[in-house]
Order: sequence, then structure tokens, then C-alpha cells
Amino acid sequence: MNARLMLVEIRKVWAWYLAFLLVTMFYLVLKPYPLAHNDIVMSVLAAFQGAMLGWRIFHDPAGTQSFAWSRPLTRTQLFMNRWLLGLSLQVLTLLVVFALVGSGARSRFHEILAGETNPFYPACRWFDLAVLWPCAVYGLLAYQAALYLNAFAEFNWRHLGGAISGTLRRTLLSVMALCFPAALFVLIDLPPATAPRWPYGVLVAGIAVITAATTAMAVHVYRHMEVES
Amino acid sequence: MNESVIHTEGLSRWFDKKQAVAEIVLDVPRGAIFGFLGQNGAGKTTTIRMLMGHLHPSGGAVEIFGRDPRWLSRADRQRVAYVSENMNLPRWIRPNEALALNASLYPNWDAVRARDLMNRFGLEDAGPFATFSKGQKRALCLVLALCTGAELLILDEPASGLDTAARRIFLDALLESNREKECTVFLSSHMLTDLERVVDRVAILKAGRKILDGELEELKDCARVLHLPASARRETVERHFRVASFRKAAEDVRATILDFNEDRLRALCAEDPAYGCVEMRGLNLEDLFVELVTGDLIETGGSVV
Repeated sequence: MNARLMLVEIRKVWAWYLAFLLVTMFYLVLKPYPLAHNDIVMSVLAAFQGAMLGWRIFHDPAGTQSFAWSRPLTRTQLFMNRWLLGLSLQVLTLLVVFALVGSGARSRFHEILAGETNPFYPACRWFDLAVLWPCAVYGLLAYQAALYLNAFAEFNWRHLGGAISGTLRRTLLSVMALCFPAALFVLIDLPPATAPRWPYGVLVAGIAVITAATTAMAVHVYRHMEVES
Repeated sequence: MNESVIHTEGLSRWFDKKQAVAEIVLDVPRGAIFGFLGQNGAGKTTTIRMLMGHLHPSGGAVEIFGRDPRWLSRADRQRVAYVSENMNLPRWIRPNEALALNASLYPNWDAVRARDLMNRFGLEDAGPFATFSKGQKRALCLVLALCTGAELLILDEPASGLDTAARRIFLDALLESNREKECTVFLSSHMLTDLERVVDRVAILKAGRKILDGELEELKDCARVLHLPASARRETVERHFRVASFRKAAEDVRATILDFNEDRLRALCAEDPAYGCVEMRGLNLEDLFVELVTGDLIETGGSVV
């Protein structure tokens, strides 16, 4: 892991990342109802953020690809550097959510805003922390799907001669990446309940397998793809 | 014989149905400054991209330090620095950030030399990369490569866009790297007068094929333009010399040959007395290059000398 390279690479993504983070923070503060493990808006926000990170971190602007690829890092190291950067940003989002909800800032805001007239008064910050679950799971799954699909697209479409434009291709693939956690959402969480349909242990194991598999596939693509220079 | 830092064997690359590089054999010995020449579209950049492991060969093999460049370890990658034809830094990066990044990645990074070259190129107070002129962009890319302490520099059109003073600074720095740090340099350029000052060996590409490869001084010693009588025939000259081009003018014929020596000339004159009054002149690198790429020499094998 090279911190300097991460600082260079983060420039590709920081404006988008901050925008998503701000929207997430506004949502958390302003939602007047309790937050839960199956909060669909939080799931969608996290999934969009994950897909955005996967897309932008693993995509080099036109003409600049060989800059990173010519530094003295193996392709696997370059991949892992970028992958860890994306994961770090997702962890940062979780920390911000945790701080906002766990510190009681959100509860305090609602108490000031509505006080005892809020039907959910008093807001229970420890109950609201369940929102970390969709934030972590759908952010991670969308990120994994996006990075794999984008790496696959770079590899495949370049060899096919660019039949579709790069922007359209990435948009389609990002939509596909979002479908992936959305399908899982239906499978896991859609029915209103106090906990997911499956035991947390099973879900975590399943997510770990998906993460490991998509990472391994993306690394494989990175090791074999051709690079502009 | 010196160890080869770069070795290719039958290196080829196709793009769809077009062959960009055809069966190139190269050996770049350690410590050499190797000029890689060719017209636009001759296959230089494609070859360099394969040397860097950015493109996969369609056929043949390429080795850097005895290994496939795609699978070089981090330690081996730290022995190679590269400047691409398209100056490829992110548009937002500032020179200090780029230098700090390289310093963190190359264990032999020479910060003192980097500062010195930045001053000499006039880049010390420059803003983001996107605001640079073409020459400044090129200069920064060169500083980033020249100060890595790498054993092998691969430079694709390094002097393109540099003004005369900057070219001089670059060539001096290049020679310093080569002489004092024993760095091997593989560079392609159209600035043949500059190249002639620094290179030890050259290879010339034409339409994806290597047509000539050898020590520059030997090539220049052995290359001659013969001014022959108008009646001269190519077959006759080819029986004695390797002919790169054979051009008929109004009053005479000019043949560029690559393997001149006095004995062969005497043999040619003995075969036909009309050749007795041959005039000849030597060639510099630029003349040799033009004669070769506009002539009809086809050569795919090894060194001509």
C-alpha cells in the first residue's frame, strides 16, 4: 500500500465522494422516522456510492492510464492499492454514519425540531445504528460488482474494438452493478421485519464469499489487461 | 558479449488485420544508448508498449532483465523508468506531488538531481500539470524518469516539444545517467541530429519490420552513397555490396550501400571498367535514415554489421 499514490488517486473521486457523503448525512439527520436494517433509501445511497467508487477509482481519465501503470508496482499491487482506497472511503462513510447517529447528534436534532410531538420520541440512537448494516453491505456489494464489471469491460471491449462508447458502456455496467445488490436486497431484507430474513452469520459469510470472488476475478483481469500509453 | 537488458525474439503485434510490428529481433546490451528509429507509424511506440508490458505480443517474446515485462516483480520494475509519447500525468497533479510520489516509489530516487533539473528546466514554481505548455509537460516527465536511479530508461519521443536549450539539458542529463550511473537507455526519436550525439547503437524500423540494426559508428563507417554512371545496373552493384537504395537521376545513379570496403569497390570496378570513376560520400545518421526508409531494403534478421 502506497499512501502517496492513494493521495494522487483520491483526487479522481473526492468531489463525488463528498457529494454522496453530504447527501447521506442530510438523509440521516432529516429522516423523521427510526432507522432500520432494511432502510431502502440508505441501501440505495450506499449502493450508488459503492458503484461510483468502483467506477471512478478503477477508471483512469483518457490518456492518463499509463501514469499509474508505469510506476514500479506490480499489477496486483496497483489493484490492491486502488481497492483499499475504495474500501477506506467506505469505512470512512461508516464512521461518519456511526458518529452522527451513535453520538446522539441525530437524536438531539429531532428533539430540538419536534420534541415530544415526534411520535417516535425519544429517538433511540442505539436502535438507529442498525442503519450501518445496509450502509456497509450494499456499499460493499455495489463497489465489488462495479470494480469487477469495469475491469472486465476495459479488458473485453478494448479487445472488441470499442463497439459502444466508453461512457455508455460504463453507465450500463454501473446499472448492472447496482442490480446486483438490489437483487440481494430482495433476497435478504425486503419484508419488513426487525432483523434480516437470514441469520447475520450466514449473510456475512455470503458477502465475504462474494467479495473474495469478485476481487479475485478483478485482479485476474487487471493482471492480463492491455493498457493505453 | 554484454548481457542484454532488453531482448526480443520474433516480436510481432497485430491490430485486427493490420500487422503493426513484424518479427522484431532486438538485443540491447547493458550500458548502451540505443536509438530506435522509424517513420511515423513504423511500429516504434507499439514495440515500446510491448517492452513496458502494456501491450501483449501477438507473437514472439520480449524480455526485460531476462523476464517477461508483464510479470516483473516490484524490485525489477524499480529498475525501469518510462516516458511515454503521450505525456500522461493526471491533469491536476503538481510537480511537487509527482516528485514526492516517485520518491516514495523508487528507492534510488535522487532528490538533489530532481531539484537541480527542475530549476534548469524552469519548473520550480509551476502549477498543475494541465496548465503546462507541451515542452514543460515533457520536461517534467523527463525529470520524473531521469531521477529514479533506474538501470533502464525507456523513452518514447523524449525530446518532442522541447526547445533547443531544454533539449540540451535533457541530452546532458541523459549522458550523465548513462556514463556515471551506467544506465541503459532505449529511446525513439525523430530528432536524429540529437540522437547522433548520444546513441551507441541504432535500429531502424520500416512498416513494422526492422531493416537495420548495429553500432552507429560502424554503420556510418560502412555506409556510402556511390555516384555511379547512368548505365549502372542494380544487380551488378548487389553482387558486391548490400544496397539500401538505388536511384536513377538524369546524369548518374546514386546507390546507398551499407557494407563499403575498398576491396569490394575494386572488385566492382574490375567487373566493369565503367564503374572506375565512382565518386562517393559518407552519410550522417539523418542521411542514412532517409535513404533507408525511402529505399527498398527489406531485412528482418539481425545486425547488418
